[in-house]
Amino acid sequence: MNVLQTEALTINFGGLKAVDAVDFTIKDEVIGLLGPNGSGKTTFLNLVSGIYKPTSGKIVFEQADITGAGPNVVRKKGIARTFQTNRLCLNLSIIDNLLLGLYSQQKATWWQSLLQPKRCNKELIRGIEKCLEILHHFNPSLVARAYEPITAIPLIDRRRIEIARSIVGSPRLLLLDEPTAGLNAEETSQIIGDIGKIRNGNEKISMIIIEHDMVVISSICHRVVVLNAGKKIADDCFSEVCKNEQVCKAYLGG
Amino acid sequence: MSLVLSQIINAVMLGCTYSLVAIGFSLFFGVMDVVVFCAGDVAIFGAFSIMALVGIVFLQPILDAVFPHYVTIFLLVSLSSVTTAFLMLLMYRIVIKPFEGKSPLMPLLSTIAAGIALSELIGIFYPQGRNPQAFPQLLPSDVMIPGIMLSERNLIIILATIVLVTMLYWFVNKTKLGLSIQAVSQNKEAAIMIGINRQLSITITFLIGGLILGIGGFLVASYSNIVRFDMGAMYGLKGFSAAVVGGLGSIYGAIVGGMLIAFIEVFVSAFIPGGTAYASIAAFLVVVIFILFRPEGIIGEKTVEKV
Amino acid sequence: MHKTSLFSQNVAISILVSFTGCALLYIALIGPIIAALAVLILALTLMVVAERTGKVEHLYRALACHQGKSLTVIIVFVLILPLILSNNYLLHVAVMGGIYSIVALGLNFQVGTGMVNFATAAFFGTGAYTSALLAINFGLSPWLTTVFGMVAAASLGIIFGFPALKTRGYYLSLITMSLQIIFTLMIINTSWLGGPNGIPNIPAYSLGATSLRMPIIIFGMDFPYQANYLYLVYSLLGLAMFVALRLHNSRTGLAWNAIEQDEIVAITQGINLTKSKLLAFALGAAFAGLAGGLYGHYTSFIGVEDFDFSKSLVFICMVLLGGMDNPLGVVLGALMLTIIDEKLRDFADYRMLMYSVILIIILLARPQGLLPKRIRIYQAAKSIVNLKI
Repeated sequence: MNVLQTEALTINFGGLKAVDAVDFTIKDEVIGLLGPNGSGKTTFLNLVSGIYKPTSGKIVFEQADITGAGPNVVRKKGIARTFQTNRLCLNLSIIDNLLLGLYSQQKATWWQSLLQPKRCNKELIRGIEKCLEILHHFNPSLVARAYEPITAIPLIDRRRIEIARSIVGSPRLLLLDEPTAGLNAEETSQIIGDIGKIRNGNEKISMIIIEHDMVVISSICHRVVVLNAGKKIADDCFSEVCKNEQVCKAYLGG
Repeated sequence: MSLVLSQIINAVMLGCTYSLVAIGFSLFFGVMDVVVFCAGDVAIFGAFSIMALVGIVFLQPILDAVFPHYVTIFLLVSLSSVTTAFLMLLMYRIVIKPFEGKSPLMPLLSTIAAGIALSELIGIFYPQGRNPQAFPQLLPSDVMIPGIMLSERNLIIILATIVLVTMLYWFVNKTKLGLSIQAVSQNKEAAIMIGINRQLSITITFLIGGLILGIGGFLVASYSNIVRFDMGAMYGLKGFSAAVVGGLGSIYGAIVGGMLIAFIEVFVSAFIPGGTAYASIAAFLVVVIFILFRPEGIIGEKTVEKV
Repeated sequence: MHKTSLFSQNVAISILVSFTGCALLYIALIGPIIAALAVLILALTLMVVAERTGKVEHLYRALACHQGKSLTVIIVFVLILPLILSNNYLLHVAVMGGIYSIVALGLNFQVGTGMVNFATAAFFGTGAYTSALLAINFGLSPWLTTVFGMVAAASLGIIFGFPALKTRGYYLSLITMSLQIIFTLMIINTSWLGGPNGIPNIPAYSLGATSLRMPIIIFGMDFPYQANYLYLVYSLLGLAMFVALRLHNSRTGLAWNAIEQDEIVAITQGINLTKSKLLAFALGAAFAGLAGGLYGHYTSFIGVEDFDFSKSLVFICMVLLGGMDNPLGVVLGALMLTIIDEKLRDFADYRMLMYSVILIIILLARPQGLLPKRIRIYQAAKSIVNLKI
C-alpha cells in the first residue's frame, strides 16, 4: 500500500521545469532523495507539502488526491516537514515550538478557550505531556529547560527540536530537508541515531530525506531516488544507485 | 475640449510634484529598505524656508537688484534645497540609522513621529505658523507663453521636473557614485564585498533625496499658492502611495505612479459632480487596489520568497 | 517553615506590586505633567533595574501565584477612586483611560500577529457612529446599540482584514492607513453620518429608569455621574483583559505568535493563515467597537476628529509604550498615555510635538516597552512535574 505517490508531477517556473514529470512512490520505508544542487529536490518537497502548486501531475496521499492542496491542509492530512534553514520561532519557548507541532491535531477554537476552559486545558495538558515525552527521547537534559527561549540552545538541539516538532503530531509521512547540514561528524551520527529512534518507535512514520551526506543515506535509507535537472534518473537501493552511470555523470560530469 | 486640456495640464503639474516626493521615497527605500515618512514634511519645510528667505530675511529684493529674476529664483531654491538636503541627512542620523537591522516597524513609526515633530516645529516657530500662508508668487502665473496653453509657471514646473529627473538618471546610471548607490540597493552584502563604501552611498542618497524634496516643496507651493504647516503629511502619504503604485525603488515607477494618482485626483474632481470631496478617496482606493493585485507596482519586479 | 515564609513573601510582593502600580497611576493622574512624566520614567527605571538584577522573574512568579490578591487590590482601588479624586475632570480622565485600554487590547491582537494596523480609529469610530445613530434614529436602547456597534466594527474589521491578508510589513500598514483616511473622508463628506459637525445628543445608558448620566448616591455619599461610567468601563475592561489573557495562552494565541514569527512555519504546522488573521482583525475591531459605543454614550457627542489617523497613531503608541503582545503592559501603556495626553492639553501648542518626541525617545531607548513580551507560562500545567516554571 503506497503511503504517497506522485504521477508525472511537474512544476514550471516561467519556462524552467524545476520538477519534470516525476513519478514517485513510497511505502512504509525511508527514501533518500539525492541529486546535485539545483536538481529540484527541495522543490519536490515543496510540492508534496503544498507550498508550491504543481503545473501538472498528481499527488496522492493515502489514496486521497491532495494535488494543489495548501500546506495547512496537507499538514492536517498527515504530512510534516522540516526546512533546510531550520525554521523555528525564535522568541518562543522550547515547549511552545513543540506545541506548534501538535496544532494540526488539536481542536480548541477561540470561543472554546473562552467558554470551555476545562476542556481546552485538558487538551493542553495532554499536549504538553506528549511534547515533553518526545523531548525526553531526543535530549533529556532539555526537558527541565522547556520554558527557555530557542535562542538559548545550540544548533544541534535546534535541529532536534525542529524534527521533534515535526513528529509530535504523529504524521504518516515526514519530509526531512538536509537534517545534518552544518553539523559536524559527531552531531551527524547523533541525528542518525535520533532518526533511527523515530523509526523504531511505536508509530509508523515513512520518511523522505534530502541529504548530501552519503553516510547518512547509506545507514538509514531503504531506497534512494536521484533527481537531475528536475527529472528522476534513478530509483533503487543505495549500492545499485552508486553504480548507475547516469548518476555518476550527473554528479561528476561527462 | 479646452477644459479637458487644461485639466490635463493641471494633472501633469500635480503629477510632477507628487513624482518628486515619490522619487525621494523610492531612493530611500532602494538604498536602505526603509520607508521614510517624514519626506513630505521635509519638502514642506523647504517651501517654508523659501518663504522665510523672502518674507523675513528679505533676501529676494536684494538678489533681484543684482541678478535677473530667474537667477534669483534659482539661488533661493538652491539655498532652500541645500537646507533640506542636510535636514534629510539629520533625519537619517537621528531616526533611521539607529534602527538599522531591527524590526521595520521602528523606522516606520520614528519617521512618522519625526515628520509630525518637524511640522509642529514649523507651526510653532514660524510667525503665524498655524495659519495657512500665501506662498510668494515667484513664478509669474499669469504670463502665458504664446502659442501653447501653458503659463510660464506651468512650463517651469514641468521643465524643472524633467531636468531634475534627467540629471538624476544621468547621475544614477553614468557616474561611479550613482552606480555604487544602485549596487548597494540591489545587494547590500555584495556591494560591501567589492569595496563600495556603503555609508557614503547612503549619505549621498539622503542628500540628493533631500535636495529633490526641497525642490518638490517649492513646486508644490508654487502650484497651490497656499502652504500650511501640516500639508506635509498628506503630501508625503500621496507621494508614498505614488511610489508604491509605480514600484518602490524604481525612479521611473515613481514618475508613473505620481502621474497616475494626480490624474485620478484631478479628473475625479473636475468631471464627477461633487467630486472634489471624493478625489482623495478615489486616489487612495486605487492605491489599495494596486497593493492587493499588483504589490510590486507598475514597473516593479515580483520577488518570490525562497523556502 | 521555609515554604510558608516564601509563600507569605510572595503574597506580600504581589500585594505590594499592585498597590505600587495603582499608587503611581494615581500620582500621575492628580499631578501636573511633570509628575506624570516622572512616574513614567520611574516605572521604566524600576523595570530596567528589576531586569538587570534578575529579580523580574521572581516578581512575575509571585504575581502569577497570587493573582486573586493583586486583583483585589486593583478592584478596591477602582471602587474608591471617585472618593479620592478631588474633581470630576480627573475622574473623566480615568474613564477615558479605561475606554482607550479596551481599544489597545484589541489592537494588541493584531500587533501580536505581526500586523500593525493603522485603521484602529476607524473601528473605534464605527462602533461609536453605529451605536449613536441607531440609538438616536431608532430609539433603541444604548445597551443594544452598543452591541450592534461591536458587530458593525467586527464586520468592518473583516472587510479591512481581507486586503491585509495578502500583504506584509509596509504594505499592510499602507493599506490600513489608506483605509483609515478613506473612512475619515467618507464621514466628512456624508451628511447623515454627521459630516464635519459630528453627532450631538447621544443618549446615555440607563439601568431601568435611572440614566447613568445622573449622579448617584451610595451609602449617603454623592458620586458624580462619571463614577457610574467608571465602574461600567472598568468592569468591561476587566472582561476584556480576561478574554485577552485567555486567548493569549490558548491554541489561538500560539497560532498568532507563530504567524508573527514566521508565516511559513505557521502554515506548515496546519494553521489556516486566513482564518487566524481575520480573527485577529475581527476581535480587535470588536474591542475597538465596544469602546467606541461606550465613548459615544458617555460623552454624548462624537466628531470625526476623534476617529482620524492621528488617533490611530496614538493607539499604536499605547501598545508600543506598554509592551507589544503583553496585555497587562498594553493596558498600562494606554492608561499612562491617556493621562499624559490630558496633561498635555494645557500645552495645546506643544502637545503633538511632545507626543512625537516621546515616541521617538521610547523607540530609541526602550522599544520593547514597559512590560516586554513574556514567554508563555502555562498555569494549567503547573501539576506536570517535569515542567518546572
